[in-house]
Amino acid sequence: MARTEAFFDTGLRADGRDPSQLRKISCKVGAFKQADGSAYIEQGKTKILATVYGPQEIRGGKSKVLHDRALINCQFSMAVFCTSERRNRPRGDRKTMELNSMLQQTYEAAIRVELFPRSQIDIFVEVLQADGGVASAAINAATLALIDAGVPMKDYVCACSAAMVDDFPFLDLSHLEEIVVGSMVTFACLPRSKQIVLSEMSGRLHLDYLDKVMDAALKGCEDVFHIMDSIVRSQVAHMAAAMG
Amino acid sequence: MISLKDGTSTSEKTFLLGVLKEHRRIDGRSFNDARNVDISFGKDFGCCVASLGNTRVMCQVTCQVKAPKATRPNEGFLFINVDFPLMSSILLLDNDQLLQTRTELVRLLERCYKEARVVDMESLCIVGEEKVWELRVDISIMCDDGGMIDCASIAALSALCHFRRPDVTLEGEEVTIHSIKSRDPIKLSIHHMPILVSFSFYENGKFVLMDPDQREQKGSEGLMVVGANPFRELCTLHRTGSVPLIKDQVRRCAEMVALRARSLVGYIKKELEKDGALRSKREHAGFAAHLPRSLMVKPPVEVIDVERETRDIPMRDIVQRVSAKRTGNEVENMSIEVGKWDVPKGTKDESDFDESSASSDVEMVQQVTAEEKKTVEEISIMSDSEEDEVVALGAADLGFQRQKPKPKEKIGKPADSQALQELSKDKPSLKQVDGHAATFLKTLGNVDKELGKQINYLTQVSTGQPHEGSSYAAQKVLQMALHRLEHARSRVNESERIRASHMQQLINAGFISRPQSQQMQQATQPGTPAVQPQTPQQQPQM
Repeated sequence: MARTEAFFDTGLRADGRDPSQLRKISCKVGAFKQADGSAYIEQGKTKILATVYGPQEIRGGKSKVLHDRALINCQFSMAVFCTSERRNRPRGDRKTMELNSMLQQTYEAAIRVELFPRSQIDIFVEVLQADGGVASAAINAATLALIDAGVPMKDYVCACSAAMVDDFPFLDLSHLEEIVVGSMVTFACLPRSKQIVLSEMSGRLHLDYLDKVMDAALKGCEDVFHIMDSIVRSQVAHMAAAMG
Repeated sequence: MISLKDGTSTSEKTFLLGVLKEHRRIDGRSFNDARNVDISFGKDFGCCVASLGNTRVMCQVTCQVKAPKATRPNEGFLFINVDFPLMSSILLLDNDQLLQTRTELVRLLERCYKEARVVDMESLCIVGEEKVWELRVDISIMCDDGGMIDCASIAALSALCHFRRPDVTLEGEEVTIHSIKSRDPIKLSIHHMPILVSFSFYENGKFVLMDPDQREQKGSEGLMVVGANPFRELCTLHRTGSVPLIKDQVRRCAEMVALRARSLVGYIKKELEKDGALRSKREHAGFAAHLPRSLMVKPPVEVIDVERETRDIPMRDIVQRVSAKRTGNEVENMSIEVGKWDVPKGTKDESDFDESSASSDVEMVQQVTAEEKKTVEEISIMSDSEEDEVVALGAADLGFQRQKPKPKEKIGKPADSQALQELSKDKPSLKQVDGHAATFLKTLGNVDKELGKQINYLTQVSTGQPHEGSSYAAQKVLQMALHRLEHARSRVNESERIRASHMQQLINAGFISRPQSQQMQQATQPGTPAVQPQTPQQQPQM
């Protein structure tokens, strides 16, 4: 498929966005009352649900106990109906295992784990509909859930995907664009300090473009942060008002 | 890559950080140095063992025919599998850990080699929608000393470049897959050659090390894997650990990997060529021939005792003389050539002052010069050191010594050591000490005398008179004299010749009688160069 399908002559993308424009983000913090923390996020057509349990005592054996910090346990699963073709397994295949470790890596660097020795923090992420940017949306959802659970973190963790198409950095790619474009990068960062906690890449990207792509992705993360922050603050204010 | 959860002791971490703060690494590399890479190919196509320092990974590429995916009817498959036999690393005993590490490794390799489209998938198509080749890359980690992913990527890349698939011919509907023996197999079509390099971070990203080994990995706070090819195209970026990164660090690491990719890919290509050349000569031997080369064999370190080598020679001579004196017989037979003395390396100097030694060793000099009367025989060596030739004399030998014709001195312990031993006792007998000291002084006096004798002898042998300097002046004077002699001689000859010629003229003119002239002619013949006919020559001279 030609690149022009993703990028019209008018300078807009297939869904009418600018190259540097993110998709519409709408999220709700505290979707489940049962879990310690939960969040639901919609990024374009991608819909993801995240729940957090913890910090709590370690389940599954004393052997995993870490004496000086908390254990982070992530489970990522994609519902069988989330993609256009029915998936065979919701979890346990390579892609989900990879996203598991991605989440783990990200939150190892972001959560203040040294505050909770000998305990466990569970993060469960469920994808209800996947339309590109699954990894970044999952991270955003998990961040919101962690904030809802009150787990101390160094900063928000905001993620965004980016790609380089004909000298233009594209942000927040949809599924179709992901297939068409040769290479894609996902970055997650702590927006206030601009520190990168996740960097994943597929395809080939020339080194000279790396700077541009990184800058664009970090800018996208910052935009996500503003959105998330405003939503969180308004929801917390709402809750506080309700409590009196 | 091993998760950072596995235990490292605090002391190890502290030590590592301390070393890094001094801008060094434990194994002596610089921060941006990677370990040495070594690749060897097996007898079959597609078999490769790569080693990066102590880390060793084996990769085998195989192929089989399969039906393609419905969504991609003209593309083949590339399946990557990583195996961790337990011999690779003791840290992987935990099953969860194993699974996680394995997934991580496989995904990284898939991203680098599959998603970056290293192998042309459409070239693996045999019959569209029916038959395609499935390539299977099996990686086995044999030994893990950090940098597993680096080594695995090198092995996988080399194996893919080395692999040959069987040739296929289509005749209408019939597909014939030729065996390797009947037709030469075909290389894969490889678009580009990326490799993966890992980095480790310490102190919140202050220190960045390239290609960490296991110790460095265990003590690190963050790890990053970057994949790039020689065309400076990135294909993988992967970060783990509890320390976030900054944009600049990512960029810098990417630059370093691009450089390393170039050199590594050059090396891989060279090794492939070498292997190809060996195969065309049918000399390829597989791993067996390569193994001795790739073993880590360190020669045992030789400890050179510098102090002993640089001891002053004159002091040694004196010591030799004294020792020789003790044997009693060599006063006359002392050899002038110092080099022939075989001095025991543990010399008198040390044993003299070794007050604690209560052994009855007698230190003797073993004489190598060809002399009839050998007074010292090497009996046994008491010390552990190979250099120490401490000789112990038994009673029998002492007895033997006493039977010698002219013993000048009693054979026993060196007088000075005896003196010191006396002093070291609880109740030193002063008389004994005095006696020993006096003997020692007497021997010193003797040594002095002998030295004087030697010097005199030498002067007599070398020059008859006091030496005034070089004889070059005299030689020159002689040369000049000889020159002058020659010159004078030639002048004399010249004048003789002229005289002869004049005489001839006079004879011819009739003033002088012939017999005289003949005599003169004979006299001048030695001087004249040639016999000349006289009459015609003399005419013009007149």
